[in-house]
Amino acid sequence: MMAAVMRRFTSLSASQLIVALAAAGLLLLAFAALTGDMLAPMDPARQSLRARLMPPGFEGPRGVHWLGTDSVGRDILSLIVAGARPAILVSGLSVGLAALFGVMLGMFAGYRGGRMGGFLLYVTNIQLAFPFFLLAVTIVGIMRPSVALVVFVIALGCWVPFARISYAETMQVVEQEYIEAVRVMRGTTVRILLRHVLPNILPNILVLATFALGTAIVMESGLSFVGLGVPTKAPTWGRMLAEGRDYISTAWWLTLYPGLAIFLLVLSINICGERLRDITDPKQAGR
Amino acid sequence: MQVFLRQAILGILVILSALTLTFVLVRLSGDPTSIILPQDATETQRALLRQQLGLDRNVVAQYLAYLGNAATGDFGRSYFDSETVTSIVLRHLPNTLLLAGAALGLACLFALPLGVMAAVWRDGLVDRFVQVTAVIGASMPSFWVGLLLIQVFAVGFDLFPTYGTGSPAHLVLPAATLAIYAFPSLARLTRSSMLEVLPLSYVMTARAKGMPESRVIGRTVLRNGMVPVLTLLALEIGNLIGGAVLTETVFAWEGIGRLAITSIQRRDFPVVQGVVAYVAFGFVIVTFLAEVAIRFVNPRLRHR
Repeated sequence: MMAAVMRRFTSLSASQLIVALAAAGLLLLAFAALTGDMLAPMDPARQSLRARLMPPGFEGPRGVHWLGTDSVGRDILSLIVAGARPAILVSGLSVGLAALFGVMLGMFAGYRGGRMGGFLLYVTNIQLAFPFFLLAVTIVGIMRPSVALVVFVIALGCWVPFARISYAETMQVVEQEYIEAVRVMRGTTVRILLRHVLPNILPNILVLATFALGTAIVMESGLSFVGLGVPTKAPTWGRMLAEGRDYISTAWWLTLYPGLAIFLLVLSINICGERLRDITDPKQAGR
Repeated sequence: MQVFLRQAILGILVILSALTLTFVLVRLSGDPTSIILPQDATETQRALLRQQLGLDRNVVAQYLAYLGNAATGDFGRSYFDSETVTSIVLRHLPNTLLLAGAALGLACLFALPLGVMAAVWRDGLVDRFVQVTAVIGASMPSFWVGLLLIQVFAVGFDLFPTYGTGSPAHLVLPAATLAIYAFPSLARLTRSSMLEVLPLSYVMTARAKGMPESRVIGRTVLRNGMVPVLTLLALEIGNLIGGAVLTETVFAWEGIGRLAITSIQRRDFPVVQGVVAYVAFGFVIVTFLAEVAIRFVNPRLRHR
């Protein structure tokens, strides 16, 4: 019995350690995104023809390039730090937009029920019946990329689960007696939805938003990789990887590090999401 | 029967939405004569081309003509070479099917047994492995996985070609990339649908009457647990086609995903419209067939 308790304790602390690490990593990147280039060890835009495609650890006139330099001599580490801002900003905005619209539509349809609900589900079914990434490149490619369009398209790729979950949960909440009571007291629809339904479904929406953030970051990097991401001065992580592909046989650091940045960021987000889900819904733990 | 009717209507709506969306996008994107003709073309040349393309008619008439042509598989010709869109798409389609098929097979080969083992020995070593790889796999952009595979197996060990289409050796890395992309959701779903069947009373009955455990798992649990997995497989094919857009770009694999990207970059809109329409059509067919297959496997669903 003692052994079982011990095992429980050690395994718990190990997983807690991972969650803590993930959260710390996220905070660091969020900080990098807020402060922009200030955290970067060198000016990410500064090119240097003599320091082109130098391997990690190369000591140039500006200092040590810990992660090497790219094809025009920019410092990879600084570019990665500078790339945190567009990655986090674009995906955060998209998920916010998707959650806002998805939850609004879902709650309204769940409250009204009947045809409205059926119609909403039908629309989501139509969207799910098409490979989304192809849709995304088609829209952004034909209309030409801009920040607003990329945010809109990524939001389009994320809104379905928000709408479905808030629809299903609102249907359940509306059945409750206290909602009936508010209705008897002539509470308006908006009041019922915002004051009584929303707080009930909010924990699940938060969990969903966390996972959606990870998906959005991967989606944005994919769009950037094919040249259809947000137009920024400094290259985004996806665009850095596209350059890495051109130099794949000579400069491995161009493909390894920007991808690692995406991977670690999304992994941290997903680990926090798993933990958040276990907290809000203990029954689902370990699923 | 009603289910099939509903599925068919949904399918028609999906195709119609895809066609309408690309039509609207291309109309919104501006004057195609500026893409096709050189910059110094005269206004009369442009007007003539607009007339040839039917752009001088009103939008509704254009839309109806476009739908009518699409229904017969006619998406016009590429802006840049005289080949018809249908023949371009059909030329690239087999490569994508080959890639997606190989990837799906590879993913199933690992995900199904591992998912079953994870459920049977819950919290065991395999289970931990599936859980951890699922979280890690879901966090890696598929195109980066492809780049890493190239780095290690093509550049580092020189085992496979870096990119291109052609020999079976060209297929290995892209198929592995797509399989890694499909593995997490497949393994997780196999595991959770097995876990749902395991505690049911007919499993207990099978055990109680002395059926050996391997048969209980192999026949009773597996057959019932596979139904949701089959449903997912159909969706997974759509996912794979979406993922193939990036994978094919990484590996310069001559499939419709890469065709979509290169035509978008060249602003060759008829080809883009054709790719989107054919993918929508193919996907609708696959979903429909999956619906039939599920009813074949599980007779209880037949009359619903």
